[in-house]
This record gives sequence, C-alpha cells and structure tokens, in this order.
Amino acid sequence: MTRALAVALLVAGAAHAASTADPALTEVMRNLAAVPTARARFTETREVALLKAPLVLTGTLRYERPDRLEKHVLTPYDERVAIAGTEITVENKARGRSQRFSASSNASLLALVESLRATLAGDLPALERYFDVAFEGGARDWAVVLVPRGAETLALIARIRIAGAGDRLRRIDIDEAGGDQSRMSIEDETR
Amino acid sequence: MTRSDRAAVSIWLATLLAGAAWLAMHLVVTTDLSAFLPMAATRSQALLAQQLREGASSRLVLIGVDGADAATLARISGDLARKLRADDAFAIVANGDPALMSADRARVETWRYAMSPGVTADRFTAAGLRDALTLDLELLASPLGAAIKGTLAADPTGELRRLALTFLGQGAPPTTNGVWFAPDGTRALLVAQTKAPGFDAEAQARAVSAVRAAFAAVAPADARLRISGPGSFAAEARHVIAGDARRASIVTSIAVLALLFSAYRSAWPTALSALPALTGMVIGVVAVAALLGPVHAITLAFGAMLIGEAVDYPTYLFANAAPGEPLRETMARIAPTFRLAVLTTAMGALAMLLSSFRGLAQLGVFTMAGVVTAGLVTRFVLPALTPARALERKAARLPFDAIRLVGTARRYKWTLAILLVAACAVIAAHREAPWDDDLANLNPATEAAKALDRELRAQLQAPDVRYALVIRDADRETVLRSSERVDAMLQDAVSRAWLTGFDLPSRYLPSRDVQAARRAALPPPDALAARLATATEGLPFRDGLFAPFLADVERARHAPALDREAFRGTALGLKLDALLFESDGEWIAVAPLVGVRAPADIAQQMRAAGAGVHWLDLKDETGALVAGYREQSLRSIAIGAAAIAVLLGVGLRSVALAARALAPVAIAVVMTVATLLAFGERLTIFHLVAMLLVVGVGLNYALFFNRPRRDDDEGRLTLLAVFLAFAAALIAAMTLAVSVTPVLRAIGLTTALGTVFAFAASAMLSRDR
Repeated sequence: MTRALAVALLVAGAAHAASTADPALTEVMRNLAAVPTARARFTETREVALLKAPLVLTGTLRYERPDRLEKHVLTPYDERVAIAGTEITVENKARGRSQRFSASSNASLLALVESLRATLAGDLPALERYFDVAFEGGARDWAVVLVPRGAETLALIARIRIAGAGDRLRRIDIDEAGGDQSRMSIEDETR
Repeated sequence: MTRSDRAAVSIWLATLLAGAAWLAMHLVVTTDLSAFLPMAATRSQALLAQQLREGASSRLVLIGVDGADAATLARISGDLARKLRADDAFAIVANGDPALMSADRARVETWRYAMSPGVTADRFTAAGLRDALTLDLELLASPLGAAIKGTLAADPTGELRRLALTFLGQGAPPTTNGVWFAPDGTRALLVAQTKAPGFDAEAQARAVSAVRAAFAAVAPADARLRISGPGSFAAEARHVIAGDARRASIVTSIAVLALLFSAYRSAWPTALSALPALTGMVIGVVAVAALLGPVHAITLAFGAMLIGEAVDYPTYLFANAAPGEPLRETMARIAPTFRLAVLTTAMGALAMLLSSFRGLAQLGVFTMAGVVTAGLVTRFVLPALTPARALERKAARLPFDAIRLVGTARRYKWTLAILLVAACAVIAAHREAPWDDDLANLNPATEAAKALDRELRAQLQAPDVRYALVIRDADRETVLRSSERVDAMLQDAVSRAWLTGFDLPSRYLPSRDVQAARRAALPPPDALAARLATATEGLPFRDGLFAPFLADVERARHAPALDREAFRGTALGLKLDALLFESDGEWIAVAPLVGVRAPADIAQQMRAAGAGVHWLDLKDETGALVAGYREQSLRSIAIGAAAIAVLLGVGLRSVALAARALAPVAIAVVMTVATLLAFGERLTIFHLVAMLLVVGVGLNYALFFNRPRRDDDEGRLTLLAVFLAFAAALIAAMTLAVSVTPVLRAIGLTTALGTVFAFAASAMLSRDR
C-alpha cells in the first residue's frame, strides 16, 4: 500500500515538474518579448506531392510587436501578405488582386498565424492555447516544437518547428498532414 | 301567438339552425392578409403577388442565435441545423457549413465545364493554360494551398473555384468556425426554407414552433433565439388577429348586454336582443362563405361591429314600447322609420360589396346580409317571441331630462357651423397627402419585429422583399438567354454599387446556346494534351498529373446538355425551381436582388434589356393598385350616397326631411375625417369602409330623432331608444379601436368618432315637433 502511494507520488511529482515550463523556455520567451520590431530575409522551400520539384520562394519578413506581421514574397512572384491582429490582407500587384479577410473565419489559419506571432512576441500562453509546446535546446540555441491541439488544424498541419538563436528566429519548418513540407531559413535579421 | 307569428318563428328557427349546421360543417377561416390585397391588374403584378404568397422568398425562416461565445454559438448552429434537417417541414436548412452541401458540390463539379463562364476558347490555348497553371503554383505556395490540392489534378483552370465564388459571391455571411455569423461575430445565422407555402399560416406557425423546440433541445439556457421571415409574420398576424377578434366579440357582447339589462331590468328582453344580432352573424357568415369562399378572420372581427349595430334594431323596438303596449303595436308605430333605417344601412354596405378587394367584398356581403337579417328578425320574430309582460319593468325614459337636453343642444346648433369650417380647414391643410397607400402598414407585427426582420435580412444577405426582376416568355431558352443578358447588366450595376448582389437561373442552368459555345471551346484530346505539354514546360508539376483533367474535358465535350434533372434532390435544384418555373403556359425567371441602393438606376438599365424583362417595385405596384382601387371605391360610395338620398326622399316623402336626415351625417363624416387627419392618422381604405358604416348608423339616429311623435312621453321613449343604440355602437367601436390589428383599429377609431359626431349633430339639428 505504502509502496503504491510512493510510486503515485513520484509519478505525480514528475508530471508536475514537466508541466512547469522549462526555465530555458521561459528565458527564451522573455528575450523574444523584449524585441519591438524585426526585419529579415527568408528563403522558403516547399515540397508538394503534386510537384516534381520543390517550390523556392524568397522574400522579406517583418514583425512589429505585438501582432503585426508581414511576409513579402519577392521571387518567383510578388505577393505581400500582411497580418494585423486577426485581419489578413493579401496583395498581388501583378494580378491586380487585393483580398482582405479575417483569420477568425478559419481555425487552422488562425493557429498558423499564431504559431509565428506568439513565438515572436514571446507569448507562451497564446502558443499553448493552440499547440502542445515542446522545447529543445537552451536559451542560446533553441527550438520549439508545436503540435496543434485542435482536430481541424491537426488534419492539415502535423507539426511546426521554430528554431532560433537568442532572440532571433532562424528556421521555421512546417510538416503538413498530407506529407507536404515547408522549410524556411531566415537570415540577416536587422532591428 | 297568431298563425303568422308561428310561421315567422318557425322560418327563423329553421333558417338559423340550418345556417349554423352548414357553418359547422363547411366553415373555413383564413388569416391570410393577401385577401385584403387588391386583385392584380397586370400579369406581372399577379406574379409578384403569387411570389409573395407562395414563392421561395415567402417560405424563408430567418434564424439568429446569440447570447453566447462564438464557439458555443457555432456548436448550437450545427446541432440546430442537423435537427431541423431531420424535420420534414423543411426543404432546405443552411448554416454555412460546407460539409452539408456535398451533394451540390458533386453536381457542380460534374457539370463545371457547362456552367462556368470561364470556359472560353482563349482559356484552353497553350498561353491560357500556362496562365492558369502559374496561378495554381502561387496558390500552392500559400499556407492555404490545401484548398486547391484536392482539385488541381482535375481542374487546373479553376472552374470549380470560379463557380464557388460566383455562388457565394452573390452574398453570403462571413463564416467563423465553419458556420455563418453576423459581421460583428455576436450572432450565428441560419436560414431554413419550409415546404409549405408562405400563405399557409397554420403550417408556418408549426414550422416556427419546430424551430423553437429544436433550439430548446440543443441550446444552453442563456443563448437566445431570434426568428423572422414572412412565415413568422403570418403566424404572428394570425395570433394577433385571432386575439383581437376574440376580445372584441366577448367584451362587446358582455358590455352591451349589461347596458340593455340596465334599461329593460328584465332578463327576457335583454336575452332576446341578442337574437337578431346572432342570426345576422350566422346568416352573414353563411352568405360570405357561400358566395366568396374562405371567411377572413378580420371579417369575423367585424362581426363585433355588427353586434353593436344589429342590437340597435331590437333596441329601437323594445325601448320604444310604451308601458303596457303590445309589441305588435309598437312595431306598427315605428315601422316606417324602422324600415328606412334598415334599408339605408344596407345601402351603405353596398359600396363595399361591389369592390374588387376580396376582403372588402366579404365585409360588404357580411354587413348587408347581417343587417337585413337582423332587421327581419326584429320586425317579425321578436314581437312573436316576447311574452306580454316581459317589458313591464322597462324604463320609459332616460334617468335625466333628455327632452330638455336635446332642446338645449338645438340652441347650440350654430357651433356646428364653426366646427364644420374648422374641419374643412383641417382637411384642406392635409389635402396633399391624406391617404396612406402603403400596404406594409397593414401588417400587425410590432415595430420591434419588423426591425429584427430587417436586421436578420441584412446580416443573412437575404433578397430584398421590395424589388424583383421578372423575365417572362413562352419559350424557356429565350428566358434563359435574356437571363444571361441581364446577368451582364446586373454585374455592371453591382460594380457601380447600385446593388450588392443578385441571383439568376442562368447561373445554374445556362442556355443551350451558351452551353454549346462552351462545349465548342473545349479542345479535342490530342490538341489539349499538346497545349498542356507546352504550358507545363518549365513548371514543376509532376508528369501525368493532369490526366484526370484531360479525361474530364473529353467527357464534357460529349456530354448531353445540362438540364434541371441534373440538380434533382440537391439544394441547388430547389433554388433553381424557385428561380425558373412554368406558370400559365409561360416560363418565368425571377431574379432576387440583394441590397438594392439605386432602384431608379437599375430600372432605367433594365428598360434596355428587351421585352420580357420586367422590373417590379412591390411597394409602388401595390400603392398604385390601392390608389386605383380607392378611386373606384370613392365612385361607388358616391353612387351609394345618391341611392341613400333617393331612398330617403321616397321613404320620407319629402326632400326637406331627407335633407334634415342627411345633414348631420354629412357633418359627422367631415368632422371625423378632420379629426383623424388632425391626429396624424393617415386614411386607408378601411377608414373609408368604416365611414360607410357611420353613415348607415348615423342615419338611424337622424331618422329616429326626427320621427313624428304624438306627445312628450313618446318623445322620451324615442330618446331612450336612440341613446341606448348610440351607447351600444360606441362600446363596439371603442373595443375595436384598441385592437392591435391596424385594420380593426382603423375601423374602430373611425366608427367611434363618427357615431359620436353623428349623434350630437342629429340631436342638434333635429326638428322641434
């Protein structure tokens, strides 16, 4: 009886320890939260089952605390996606197309936007609302692995891995549920 | 009882019982307000009226759910939609959930090359294909590439995407958590279409209850349900009118009987007073049902008025009975005046009878039949049925010195001149717009209900109820071709913000010509394969990816023409049936319009659309009909008035006497109109109707006030009779005046004012001896 109790307490203790955030993760989040704006160039490689060669996109990323993001694809076509809060504007000058819609109409889209925004803003509670968060590495060289909680999002995205160094992002890797992948490397960040 | 008495009573009893039995078996009561709408003059108006009564828009139930957070509301929306779909009363239930439209999606996917306006020869050249594929790549690169992955292999040119945009683009609410929400996100929206037509108030009421029951089963306590739509208005109207009818009849009956009892001080004459009115009502309803079909509840409520009026007749008989005088002699004494009174009231109803408004014709038949019956029963049956001593305790005079009062009143008859001038001034001041031709004001729904309807309609982007476009022709293909022409014109109108959206049958069922052109634009398989190979050069699509596309295009090239059959059993099929149908040997396309902001501009544009395309503004159309009808009524009234005047002249054997009887009534009418206008009440056709009644009843007062009398005692008896009659009529009128139903309110208010003015004026203008 007492042995069972001891085991139970031990397991409970372990679980408790795991649920408290890793101090390194907390430090990383704090460092990220301190960043007011950021600019970077990215190279994204998308592997799509339908295509025999990966799509390569390059462009710039911009961030403004706490919830403004902009992804401007420069090659192979010009398209700017600007996110302010939950409002998304997609502008494609070549096609003369400009669309505005709300991310709140699509749970998966919202989760995707939050995965990046919440990380950049160091907003761990927001991340945990949409994802199961696992932490790898330490404060100087880290990665968060996000697995969606919502069934709708899980059906589309299997996991997102965001890696960084200090208070800058280095990589965003997205594994889609159907097997397609997106690998983005981020470089030359300026403040 | 003499032989003739017995005969009279037997005939009366037999008729009454036969009538009651017939009613018990055959009576159908309706609360459909359209019975009070004029018969359509033109085909388009008839069509519009038909659409209003039973068209798709008349079957919509608009549903909103608020009072909880978005996630809960979305869940409630899903559960509610599922429950309602299982209910047989509903043909379609939509809440924005795409999963529920899978049958429709499949159909559109199969027929996309016939339906999509993007299918042109240019699209399928190598350059066109390359454009499409480049766009596809961009879409794949975006985070939401998942949307296009499923259809890319079969539909690289994106016809499905374009069609989805068109069908949704004509206006659907934004979606959150997969279901429709109001733009501010606080209310989930659903729309259901009942199988029963809009005019079936009974079925609509059941549908509304079904929605409430389903909601109660799936929603937590604090969530709130909002329902609106033509069906719910009809159900509500039914409830309101029935309530008013019941209340008016009960209150009037009790109050009037109490009044009479206080004068007769005996149960027998009081009870007997009800007989002419009851018989009149039964025969009146039988007459309406036999001649005009289902009886409207408003007609029955009007019966409350008849009670007050028909009680006049036994009152004139009983009240005029001198102490100890047999009723037979009383009747003989007052017969000439009595006969004239009944006939002039019946004449007053003649104008209504001749109208082409079904509802008014009903009121006319009801009044005439009821009044004449009541008169006959009073004349022949009551004297036979009343026991000799029943009137022993009856009052012989009013509890105050009425003769002196009338004398005093006569001295002030000059005030009538002043009031008359004032009244004429008021009428002149309002002469620009005294009439209210807007039938929407007939709707007894509260302002809050109407506001909710407008709100839900705007949020759901449901079509306008006021404007519609109708295309008519004997040939279906001509209608579809016109529809396609109109499509282009309306798209132009949308780009100019004249309206926000529209729908047309040609979007679902293109004309044969257009389908043939599209089929011709699809290249044969080897040509297509070659062009595709050129287009994909340098693009990273997997080899052989587009095999399904090649197969689908080839199938579409040889497919039969798309027809309505293809949509059987889907929501699109139901929509198409509502937009394109056959009626009376012609094909009709109805184009619902959403958010119309510049009706005059669109109407102008549609004039160039060719014959067969009709722009309809319901409010204008019915307004014009009502105005036209009003002209007709005023003419009939003039004829009725002339007939009454002649009748009076002949009956009284003197033009001077006839004038003396008509003058107070004329004055009463002018003053009633002036009072109504002064208090901001604009006149409808129903005020007009009530005025006729005032003329009939007012004449009774004038006739009895001026009746030759032998001595003061007889004078007091007459005054007692007139006063009781007036009090009873006033009670009936005031009961109606507090109704919620606008029609009944109008009639009650007018009659109340009219009887007061007529009574006063008759007293003031009566002759001395």
